[in-house]
Amino acid sequence: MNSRSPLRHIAISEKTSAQSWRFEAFKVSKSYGAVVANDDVSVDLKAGEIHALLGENGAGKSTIMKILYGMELPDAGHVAIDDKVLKITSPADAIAAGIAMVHQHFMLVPNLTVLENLILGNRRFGGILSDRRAARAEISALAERYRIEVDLQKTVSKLSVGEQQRVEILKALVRGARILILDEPTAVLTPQEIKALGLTLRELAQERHGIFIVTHKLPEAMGLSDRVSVMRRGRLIGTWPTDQITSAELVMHMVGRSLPESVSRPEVLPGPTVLELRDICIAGHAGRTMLQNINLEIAEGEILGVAGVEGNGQQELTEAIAGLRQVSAGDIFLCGNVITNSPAASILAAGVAHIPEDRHRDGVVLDFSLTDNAILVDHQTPAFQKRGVIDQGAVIQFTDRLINDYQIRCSGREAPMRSLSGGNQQKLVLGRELARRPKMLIAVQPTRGLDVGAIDYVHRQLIEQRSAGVAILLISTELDEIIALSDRIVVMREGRVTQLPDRPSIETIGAAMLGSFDAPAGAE
Amino acid sequence: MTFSSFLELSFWIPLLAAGVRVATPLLFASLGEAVSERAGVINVGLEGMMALGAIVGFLVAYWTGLSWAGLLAAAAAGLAASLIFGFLTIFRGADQVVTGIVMNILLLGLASFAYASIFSSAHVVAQLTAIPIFRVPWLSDLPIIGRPFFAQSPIVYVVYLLIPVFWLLLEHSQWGLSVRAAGENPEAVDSAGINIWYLRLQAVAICGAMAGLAGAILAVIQIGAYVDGMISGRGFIALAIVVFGGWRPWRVAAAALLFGVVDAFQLRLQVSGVPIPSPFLIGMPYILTIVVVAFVAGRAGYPAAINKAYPLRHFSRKARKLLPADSAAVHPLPQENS
Repeated sequence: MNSRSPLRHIAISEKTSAQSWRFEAFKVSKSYGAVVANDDVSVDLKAGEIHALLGENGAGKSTIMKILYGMELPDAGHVAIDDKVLKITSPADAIAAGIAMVHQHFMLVPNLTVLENLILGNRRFGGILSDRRAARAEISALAERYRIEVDLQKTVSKLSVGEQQRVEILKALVRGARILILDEPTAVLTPQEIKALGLTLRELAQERHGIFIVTHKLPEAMGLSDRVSVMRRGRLIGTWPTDQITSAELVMHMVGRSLPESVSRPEVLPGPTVLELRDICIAGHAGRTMLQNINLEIAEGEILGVAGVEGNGQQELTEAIAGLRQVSAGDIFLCGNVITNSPAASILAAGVAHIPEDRHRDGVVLDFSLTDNAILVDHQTPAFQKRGVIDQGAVIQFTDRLINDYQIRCSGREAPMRSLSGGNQQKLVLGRELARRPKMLIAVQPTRGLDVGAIDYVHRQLIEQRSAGVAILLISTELDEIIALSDRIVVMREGRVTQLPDRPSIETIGAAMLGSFDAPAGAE
Repeated sequence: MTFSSFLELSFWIPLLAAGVRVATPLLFASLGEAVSERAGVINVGLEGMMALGAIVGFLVAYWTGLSWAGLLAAAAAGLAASLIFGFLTIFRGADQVVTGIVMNILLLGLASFAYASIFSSAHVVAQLTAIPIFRVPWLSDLPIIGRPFFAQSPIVYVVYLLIPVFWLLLEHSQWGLSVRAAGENPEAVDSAGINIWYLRLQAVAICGAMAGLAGAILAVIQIGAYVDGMISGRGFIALAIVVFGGWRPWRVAAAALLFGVVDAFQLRLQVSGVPIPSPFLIGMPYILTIVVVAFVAGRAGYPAAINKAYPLRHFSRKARKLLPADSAAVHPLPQENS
């Protein structure tokens, strides 16, 4: 039994009465104030199927998921199993009904072991004193049955992201869940790990579990699911068997128009080197090294793409260049001048601009107006102040120019940043940084959380800057983005950089991300 | 007192005995605090809750003549105060540190106000009868450790029992697992189907009851009187002990003993008449506290979710009306292998 099947086209076969059920959200509506998050949404899930719920950010996917998992109640409509309306007002109710959720940000306690995480809140393994031996035996058997490999004794913080996800899936199974809701399950995985996840999910579906995959990634939805539903602006656009619809049609439904062609990159001959990192090391906690002998060069008019799973030293790298983190060895040159461990302000003044990864934390102040945010970095320059007093006229002029040039959709320059969509917030950050006419641009996850239209816009801007001779360090976990924009690609893993050959394939990059790529001799 | 007397057992054994005595109320307070902090709630109001325990314990013991009744009443008072603190911080999302400071001001004021208004006419300080020490047969005859550890007031033996109880509860029980998880990642606890708010309230209630007991031990058992300002920073020292003990009961006990011995040591120095001004000596436990906070707390792994309120879920009445009326309208899906 259980022959490893291809990823899709599995017939939903031989329903026995005990193993056949239908789970649905029926005509669900939910609004938050004036924002309609879900408008008359009906989706269903049958035993043994994988159903992908596809949509862009803000399409209402997470709202419907929260309703299914008892974290929100709908304003209208209901959740039912086999036409019996459920009363689910908490995750505890959902778990009791056999519904489990694998969150995008894993709900694991990092300093507990895998086993402790699995028995957390599970009454079956003891009321006050827990019966660890019985728990271990039962969980091992379950893991073996679904071929989920994981070391129960390990502390969760020592696991890779892929392993943590397996623990989450196992946690759902230990609780006896028949319905699994996976939120953006592939967001943090390498291509190889995505493949392994697909096999696990297939195995679960064959055992008559039902699986919702909530994602904005088209290839994964196509590759993993039996049926696919598309949501846009809080509405359900439609549901189709996955093998009867094409990717192009799905994109049409997702964005409401066909996707623009991928950006074209005009030929630009790289000029002299702008940024050079020579043997950069950063010491981490407890004698560990966060960065180890990083050597990078970026020339004028060149985009260097840094791929890699999050948390492998990308953040430390950008902070080192921007002067936000102490370098323990090595040198950083900007246009030939040493900037190693210089104050951040002087590095900015020397022509480095920075689009931070977490724009809410490091890029903008959400409760400030657009005008205040527009001069957040440069409010001390003579252009915006006279003798310590901010020149409001100049600030207003500057903000209006940004709003105009970058087509920032807002209710006005005095609107709080919070009221803008993610895409428009990012446009302001981008415009603000580019207005400083940088020689060197560090862009970290510049399109995270943006919709397709905004992604396209940001990509075009980056290419335009490249043509204008700016050196760009692009750090992203989106491989498609890296491949589409970069002139050269390197991979970061465990604080080291792996140089890749020109035009590497997705598989090569994936192998390097996993650490199984052998760099050609002399390329380190 | 000459230097050579430091090397003799006749100096160390009584010092250790006094250290155990001083450590006892500190340990009550810090064991409770460890539970609360591990659940993600830092109770800075320990000092005030100890003062409340001291006054309530003293009054009840004074009126009834029963010291155990005083202890019980003090635990109840501390618990009640902690429920107010818990309600504000856990259910209303108030900042734990600010609320704790407010509780301190409120409870310290309340304690001295109560004492002043009840005993305003009395000219002598009201006193309780001393509780005799109890020598544990056989154990108290052990060399060296016998006298310091097993010829003490009965409450000391209670604390010996409480250390393993707290250790089992926190490190090895299912409840303790949830508590530890609540202090690290409350979302995980919520999504595991545990009532995270109620769980944290339980931890805070244990902390409050223990703090009330700690105050009462001081007033009813060790001093036999209530004196304004008698807690004199012991609540804050207990906070440092929890950090120093790494939130683990056995280590917390060792840290409390260290603080107790240091305090007993400075008392002895004062009496011996060494040429060090007494304010410096009295300050020794507090200086140790500052050292701990400065050098240990910075590196210590505080529970990640400490002082982070976990927001309540609010469902509108209209939304609730859409649900089936019967409370158990959850359809359990068929289990596998049935």
